Amino acid sequence: ADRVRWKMASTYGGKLTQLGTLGKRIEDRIEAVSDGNIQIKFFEPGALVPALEVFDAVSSGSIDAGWSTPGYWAGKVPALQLFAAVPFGPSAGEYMAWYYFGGGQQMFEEIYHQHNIHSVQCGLLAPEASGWFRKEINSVEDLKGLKMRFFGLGAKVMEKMGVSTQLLAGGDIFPALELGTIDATEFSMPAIDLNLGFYQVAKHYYFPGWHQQSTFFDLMMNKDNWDALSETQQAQIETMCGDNVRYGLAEGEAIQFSALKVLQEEKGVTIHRWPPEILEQLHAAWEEVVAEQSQDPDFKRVWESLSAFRADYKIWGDLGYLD
Amino acid sequence: MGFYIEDYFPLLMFVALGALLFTGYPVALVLGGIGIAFGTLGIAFDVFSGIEFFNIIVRIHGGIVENLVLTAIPMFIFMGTMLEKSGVAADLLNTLQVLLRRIPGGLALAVTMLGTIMAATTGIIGASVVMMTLMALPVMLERGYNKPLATGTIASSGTLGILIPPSIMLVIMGDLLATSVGTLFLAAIFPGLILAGFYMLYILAISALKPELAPPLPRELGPDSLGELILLVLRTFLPPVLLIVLVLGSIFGGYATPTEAAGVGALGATVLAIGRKRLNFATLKEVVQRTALTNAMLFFIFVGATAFSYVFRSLGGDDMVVDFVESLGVGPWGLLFVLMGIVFLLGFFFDWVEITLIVLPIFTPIIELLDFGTHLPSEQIVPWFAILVAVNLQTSFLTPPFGFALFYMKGVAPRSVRIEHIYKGIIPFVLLQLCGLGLVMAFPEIALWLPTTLLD
Amino acid sequence: MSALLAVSHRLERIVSAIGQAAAWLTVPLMLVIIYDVITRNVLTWLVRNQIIGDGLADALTLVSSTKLQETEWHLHGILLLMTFGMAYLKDAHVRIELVRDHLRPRLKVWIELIGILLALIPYCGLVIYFGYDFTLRSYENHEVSAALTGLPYRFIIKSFIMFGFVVILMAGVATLLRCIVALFGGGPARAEAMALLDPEHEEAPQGAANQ
Ligand code: NA
Ligand code: NA
Repeated sequence: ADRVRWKMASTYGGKLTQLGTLGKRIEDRIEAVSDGNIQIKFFEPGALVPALEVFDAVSSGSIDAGWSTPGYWAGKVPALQLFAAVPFGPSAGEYMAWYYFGGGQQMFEEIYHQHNIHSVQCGLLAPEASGWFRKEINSVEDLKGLKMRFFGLGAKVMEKMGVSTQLLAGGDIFPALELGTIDATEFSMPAIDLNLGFYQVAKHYYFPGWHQQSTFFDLMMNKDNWDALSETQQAQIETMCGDNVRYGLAEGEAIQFSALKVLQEEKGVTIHRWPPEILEQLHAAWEEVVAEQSQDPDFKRVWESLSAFRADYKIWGDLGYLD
Repeated sequence: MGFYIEDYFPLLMFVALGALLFTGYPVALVLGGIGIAFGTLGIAFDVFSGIEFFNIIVRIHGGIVENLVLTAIPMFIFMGTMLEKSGVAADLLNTLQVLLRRIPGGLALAVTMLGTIMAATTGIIGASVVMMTLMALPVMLERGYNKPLATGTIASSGTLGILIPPSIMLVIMGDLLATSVGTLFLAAIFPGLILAGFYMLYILAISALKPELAPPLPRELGPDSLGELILLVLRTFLPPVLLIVLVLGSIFGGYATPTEAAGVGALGATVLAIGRKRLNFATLKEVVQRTALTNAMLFFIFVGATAFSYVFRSLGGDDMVVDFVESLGVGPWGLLFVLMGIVFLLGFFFDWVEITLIVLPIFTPIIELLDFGTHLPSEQIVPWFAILVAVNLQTSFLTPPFGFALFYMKGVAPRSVRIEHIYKGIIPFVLLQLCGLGLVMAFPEIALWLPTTLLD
Repeated sequence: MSALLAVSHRLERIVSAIGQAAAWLTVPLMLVIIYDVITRNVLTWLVRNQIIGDGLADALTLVSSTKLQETEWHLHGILLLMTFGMAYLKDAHVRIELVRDHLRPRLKVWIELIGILLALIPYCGLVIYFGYDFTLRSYENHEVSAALTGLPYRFIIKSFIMFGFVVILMAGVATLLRCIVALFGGGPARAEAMALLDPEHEEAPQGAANQ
């Protein structure tokens, strides 16, 4: 088959642990498994197109591929958020079960195809942290009036709790937090947050990340490009991405505890777990958000599929696991 | 190995830019035009496709229009224009000169200090250079300052903002390096202050040696008695200084983002003008129209540059740079010098965003693994390299022919100031910058002492 | 030839009217920022210090901060895109005049003509063509803010890229017509076109006045 030489625009910087490095890994692995037949060159966000524009660029074919998470496209295709991370949603095993065997993948591809994009899930992350707070939070009252950086569906939930959310890009968070322009931020997982130094300006670190129990990342490709590939080439990409999902999840589970040790023992960070009553109220707010979002028919369809699957899964999940 | 002309398109883009800028056609359109011409050539040689032009639109929207930080620019321009048109700025600087009358080059020193203070707060080059040019340049020229000295002072101190935190450039670098922005902010403080110090020493020295370049205030001007002086200070000095302190202080103290502070500053300047009974509808209209024109001038360059740099990168410009460096095969110091040289040269043509996007992601992993022996601990190589690139890039705003600070200044300077005055004026300051860069290279502690002391 | 100049004048009037109107957006931009500062910072402070109650603060906060901030860049986007054309006609765009200053007036007009034909018109054409596509995509997707709490109807602001470049194109054509008259016309029309293109040419010694 014809050689493939693609440009891939990333929505995350290539040095960012997991969020970016898993995308960089594609560059390397696809060349190895295809014996150099397929090359997908990683470009930093902004190098070809700004991060938020990757969708339109892949859709039009002005770039060949994109590295992102489906949740990025909330403003264009709300349903895609459910293929990235779901507040109070499933953890990795259950999420994969729904996606690969519960009808998720078909809907995912169908929705993307409407926009001339073919996408393959190509990375999976362990749970995120709930966020960094400058002050301790003891009740939902303490959340009210807080200014917080928050992304996606979780932001809607926080707004319902009286938090004023802002969408800041990765690098802008630190100075905003340092200056007190925001009081809190969610960003990612301990290993990533440690590198970014949030502990230098906020000392209270909250868990669990109710808004992102597991997060999918995807390799988006212009559909015409995808259709032009040979079956072997398509299989090479799918297989490489399957391996990237395995790699991302394992790596994510492996690197958090040492980061947490450093944060707690050397950086003087206080680690908190949300009390059950706050989690309950957040959950109630999330139900309201789902009702609002379900005005979008695709969102409603995907949500119903996921909910039905989860109800059935519970039969097994409650029995099969220790807790 | 055959010779393929299309491999050299990125290089030819530089050549074309260098030549065509001097036709005097608007810079923004020369940039955009070259981008399109080479994209079209690329299509003919099958290394570019027509649909890729779509990315130019996407970059205009995502990188320029939808950028809240850039919204601060028209507000700072409004503030500067209002202070200028209402005469508040001129009064302020005149009083400053009275206060600094015994010091050679007092007015230039005052401007440098103002630039340093603005640097510590906004970090938006276009805004601080334009605002300082509007406020200070007419007064300096009126006082008989030498044009190159006046423009050099304003351009260089106006660009300090990119280095002294908070700085957007350091934020983006932190992003690209996945490293703490806090560490970079602290590391940039001393290098930035040293550069400001260099500027001031130079101004003092040149004004003492050649007083005709920076004429001191004539004896007969200014207040006759201490009482008059105090009155002058209260009337002309305190209100605008309070405004500037309020605006800049609110950013520094974390009460406002640059955009918010700029908006408050614009309103504050309007209130001052009303307070001095210098504002009527005609003045307001003039301020609004001039602000819009200056803003358009500034952003049109962004719009043209984004087309140029997109096509450059798409045609493999990044690879060209990497291949060149790798082909040299030099040791750690050799590589560092080569990289600094490349950043400096790229700075003649590109904006800092584009340069950091080319240089940092590609070369940091290489630099990280280098062995500088006992010069500095290996885990500190990345922040040190980032600061070296930052100082170097600040210089890139000032280097002709394509220094953004120089363009911005030219856009708002009085007609009598020609681009050659600006080019000539900037030379000593660029040399000072290079000294600063050399110092940070020789003594990494200048950058690293503060973050290691405060953070760990 | 004077008919060409008449068309050029008409185009200039349209471009200037659009630019001057858009320029006033600086004022609402300032006011929106101030309003955001007040609701976000001052009200929060008042509530935290229990000077006013939550209810009053909520009542005073009519619009969320995310919406206000998005309004800010929407206003700025329209402001800058709709003033590019006016800036071209008023010659506010930066030029490197190092060599240009020493050129004969006719050669300068030739450069302007070639620049418009080879740079301005292709650039505007391309941005308008793809800008339309960009707008249409947004419209068909019913695109809203990526921050789910922001502003709806993204296609509106996206369409301004296309409109802005239509205005620049009009400014370019207005200047192009003047170049044609100045180079190929005769009599008073030619002198008038020349004066319009190179106002400095006839000016008295340069003062320190702003451009
Ligand atoms: Na700064
Ligand atoms: Na430069």
